[in-house]
Amino acid sequence: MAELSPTSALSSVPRGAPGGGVTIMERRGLALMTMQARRGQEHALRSRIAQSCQADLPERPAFVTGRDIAFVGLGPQTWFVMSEADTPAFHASFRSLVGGTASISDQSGGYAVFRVGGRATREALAKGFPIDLDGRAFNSGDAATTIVSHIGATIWRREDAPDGSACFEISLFRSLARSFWHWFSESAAEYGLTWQDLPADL
Amino acid sequence: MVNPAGPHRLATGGQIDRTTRLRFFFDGVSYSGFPGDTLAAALLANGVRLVGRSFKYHRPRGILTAGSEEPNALVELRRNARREPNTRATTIELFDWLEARSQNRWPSLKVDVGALSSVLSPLFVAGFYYKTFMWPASFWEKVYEPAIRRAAGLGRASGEADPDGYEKTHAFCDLLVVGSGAAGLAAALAAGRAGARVILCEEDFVFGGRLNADTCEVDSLAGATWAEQAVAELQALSNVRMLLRTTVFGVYDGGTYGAVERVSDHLLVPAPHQPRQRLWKIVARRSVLAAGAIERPIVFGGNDRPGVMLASAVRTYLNRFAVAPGRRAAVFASCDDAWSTAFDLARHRIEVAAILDARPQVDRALADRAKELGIAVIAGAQVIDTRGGHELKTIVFRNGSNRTGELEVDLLAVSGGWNANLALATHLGNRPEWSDKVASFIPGKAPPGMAVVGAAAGHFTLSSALRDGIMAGTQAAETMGFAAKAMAVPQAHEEFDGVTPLSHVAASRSKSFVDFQNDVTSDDVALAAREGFRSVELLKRYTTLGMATDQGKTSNLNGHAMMAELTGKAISDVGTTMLRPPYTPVAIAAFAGHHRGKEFRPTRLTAGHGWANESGATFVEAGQWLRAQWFAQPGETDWLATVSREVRETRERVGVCDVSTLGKIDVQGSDAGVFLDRVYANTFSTLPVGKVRYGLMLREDGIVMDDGTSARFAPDHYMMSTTTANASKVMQHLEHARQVLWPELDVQLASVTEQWSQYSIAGPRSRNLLARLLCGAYDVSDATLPYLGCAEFTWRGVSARIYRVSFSGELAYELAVPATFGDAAIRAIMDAGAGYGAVPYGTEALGVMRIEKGHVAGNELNGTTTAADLGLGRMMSQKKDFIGRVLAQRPGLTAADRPALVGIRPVDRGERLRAGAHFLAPGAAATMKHDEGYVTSVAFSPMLGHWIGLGLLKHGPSRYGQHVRAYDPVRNGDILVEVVPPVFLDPEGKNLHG
Repeated sequence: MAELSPTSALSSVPRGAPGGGVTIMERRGLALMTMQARRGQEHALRSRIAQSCQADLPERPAFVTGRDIAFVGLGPQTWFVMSEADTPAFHASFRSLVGGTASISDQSGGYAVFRVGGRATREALAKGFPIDLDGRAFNSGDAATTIVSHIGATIWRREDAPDGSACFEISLFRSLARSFWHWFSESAAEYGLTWQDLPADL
Repeated sequence: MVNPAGPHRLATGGQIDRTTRLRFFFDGVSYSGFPGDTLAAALLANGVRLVGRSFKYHRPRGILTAGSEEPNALVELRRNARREPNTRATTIELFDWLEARSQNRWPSLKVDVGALSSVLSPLFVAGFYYKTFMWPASFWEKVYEPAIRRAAGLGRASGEADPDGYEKTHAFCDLLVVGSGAAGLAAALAAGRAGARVILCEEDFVFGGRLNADTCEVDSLAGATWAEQAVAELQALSNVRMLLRTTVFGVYDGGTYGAVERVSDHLLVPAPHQPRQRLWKIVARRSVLAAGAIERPIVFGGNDRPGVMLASAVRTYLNRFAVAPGRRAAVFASCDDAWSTAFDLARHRIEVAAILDARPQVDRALADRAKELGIAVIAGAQVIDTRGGHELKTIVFRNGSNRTGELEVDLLAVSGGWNANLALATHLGNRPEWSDKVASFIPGKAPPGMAVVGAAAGHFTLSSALRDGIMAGTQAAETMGFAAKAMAVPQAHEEFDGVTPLSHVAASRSKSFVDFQNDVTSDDVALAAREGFRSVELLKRYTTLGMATDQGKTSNLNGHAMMAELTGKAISDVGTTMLRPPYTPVAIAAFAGHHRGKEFRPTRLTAGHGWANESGATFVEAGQWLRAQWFAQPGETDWLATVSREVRETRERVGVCDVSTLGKIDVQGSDAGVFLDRVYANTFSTLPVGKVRYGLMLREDGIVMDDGTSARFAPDHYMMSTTTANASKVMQHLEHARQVLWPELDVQLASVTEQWSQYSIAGPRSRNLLARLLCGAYDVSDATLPYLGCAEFTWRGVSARIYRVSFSGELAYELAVPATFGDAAIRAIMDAGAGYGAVPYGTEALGVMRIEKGHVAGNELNGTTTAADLGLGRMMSQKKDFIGRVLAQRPGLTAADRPALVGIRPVDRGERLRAGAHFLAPGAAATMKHDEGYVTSVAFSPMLGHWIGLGLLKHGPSRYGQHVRAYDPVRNGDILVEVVPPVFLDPEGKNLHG
């Protein structure tokens, strides 16, 4: 049988408003996991991740990238793990990599991840995120688990775009993506909103 | 020739754009004005001075002020769905085709029948309602209250949905500056130059405050020009954000401020994608309150006649709007500042009949200046009355020798001094303090991080405002770690700021208004004093002084000062009422923002939502989720027929239901089994890998909390399912247990509700359907997957899970795939089921089938039932401890006569059952004493052809076969039912095995 086709978390919603002040894309096809260190295993987990993924697990709300993988600190000894290869094989290999040092839950279908950018990104995001996203307070690599327009969300800042505009990624429960979109599209419309269906990359 | 710019428009000057003509309508009459006008300015330019009728006595009223403190000039703005009552003409920015109407008059503003109430005014004194509508008491609800409600309120709401959008936003800064007058601009400059993140909010549509309205100089520049240059510099700083048309209306804990930006109120309709208003939540490390001051009127006879205006407002209309509010003016004041109004009037060649200063001694320099300008000065004078009907024509005064005189004037500029505008400084509960020196309340202790500067602090001269601003901005920047460069204080001329407060002209005999908006007179205050309502808080509630849209901005102090006089106290002892947010009215819509209608709160949609929608589903809200309630087929008009069909076809063939909304929690770690043993009443550590078990969870107090199944996928990995309703509550409960009760256990929890799209496939043909669907990816034979088995496998490239569980009582499975593939999966399931007559079913059919099988759900797990009540007492393990075990043994929870789960059916099978009906013994009176329990769930069973129900009945399980009454006084139900075992269908459970 043919493989099942994945569906966007935002299928069949109207997209965009003229202009390019804000851009958004859904990062589809990501392998997503929550990873929690087993009791007394945090050190072992850290060294395995450092060795195999070339990443230092953040000890604060932060986003770090490793080899073909990225981690966001969600809470004490809890991380959100992202990778491009959402295949059963990847999940199996990552599980065996951490072995008994962490509990892994597959969340590839549980969260929608959006990347937003453009010169008016911060103005648009400020309409929902009750936290300070200014460069003085929220640097590239910073993350926060918070709410946006009454929806639980985690946001982290990526490297700025070549034009100097800020770039953020936002994860939230997939079932809430449409409500998120309602808020986001209305909030960004005044700046112009362009939907970018770009391939996922880290 | 009539001046086309309006008969009262001055030939030159003003911050208006004379090259553009704006057309507007007031009470249906067309006028024109200029960009830069307020509606009030444009009306005055056109000679319109009567703009409204007062609330209680329908007295003719004009424009008193030039700002947001306006009590009189309230109009209905716009039409139809955009109609907005009680907008202040003094703050409405003129736009082309603006339409406004006066309020509280009928049939017209000039001829108002309601004004008759003025004749009856001796009746309508303070406390009128309290005294008059006392008896007979029975009249209150039916007669008095409806009549009073009809008379109450100003303006009319549109009654239609607002067609415009509103939104909310957040901002963070080092320094928030409230107000952009001299003090605010100076503070923003000092902090902005130092590099601090500054937000400056100005409620007006131009920056500069009174620099735009007064004749003044700063650093040898006209005040308005200096403001313009300061604004230009601030706007060029990337660390400074300037918000016009933005009122900071509240101060909250933690350096949080609320502000509303009127983004589009100055436009006929908002531009595309622009909100009408935007609510700002601003978090600031420090703030500077530079809100200026509000001028005090003087209470004297006829002081509410159109043409009586605050002295500072007269200057605003002259200097900022190039409008002469009258042809011949007088000034009545008890302070130096108002003299500048006379001088400005003279400069604009408007005749000033006299300056009447209540003080016996006036400043020599001021008197000399008046003399130079040819203005008569009458010291020790008091205006005691006015005449002129709808517009001021004459004032009556007494001079220092108590002799009465009259002056023919159409404009009277009044000032009793200034009140520091300190409202925001009191929002966190700090009381203001009276200062005799400046004759104003001044801020006491300010909220944390706030500095109050300039006139808002009672420092009423321009030079002190500039000095305060620079100092506060510099200090704020430095204490926050910014290196502020020393900044010279801009120079302003010294001003006269002498004042001897005068709240009330006692010699007046005619009606003297303290509070224009609420028609509170000096007599009302005196009456309140006589009747003992002397505390300012009681005075407010008894007379309505200081209530409604202006919250007493121009009236409170005079009322309180009069009460002080009447009771022989100092103002400092009488005190003042507390001010609360909002500073000025804020539309509810601004607080709602985008969250209107169905977007009131977020909605959760399952991955199969789109498919269900295409399949004709009717949806029902289940918490935040939308779930398919049933799937009506073409031609089906009765929901019960649809649901009954779904049940029959599921039980006879196969039905598919989206159960993704059930809570799913990954429980992992080496102690996962021990953990589950402690949170469930029954045992899970012994559950073999690859098996599922039904579990019951109690609260600490022994009452049932939730039920569901847990599957074991590995020795250290369980997956728990919860009810949809309790998913987050159970997650919290488990996290509490893990983090607080037993931190020593190696357990990790993760909500995976969202990860899995899960479909229940139930009915005798469910196995056939699955076999065809999975195509060998997994063997669903009874041998590989027996009842209560579970497995993980890869199906068509995705990780899938299968559970053999049944809520319907049929041979049933639940298939789970990552939600990304949930849409594809349901379509594949229905394709595979086509040959087996598969139907989708919704939550109603799900409910019918669980009642037929006697399974408890939310109606029974209602927070009052124990495991034994639900017939699940045997699940309470005797071999281990668990949450709720001890308290479940309390005598009240183990009493033998507790209502317990039974099934019921109507004795007359044609009758309908109603949930909520109470059980009574036949013949017993319908009183609480005879109450024996109640019906929790009912359904029409299509399999049995009659209504069935579940209920909680005293001694229930021992009463099978008995008849009891199901008594429902709410819906007039009273029927006889038979008590039966709760399992109506297939009690042996044969169907489970196909």
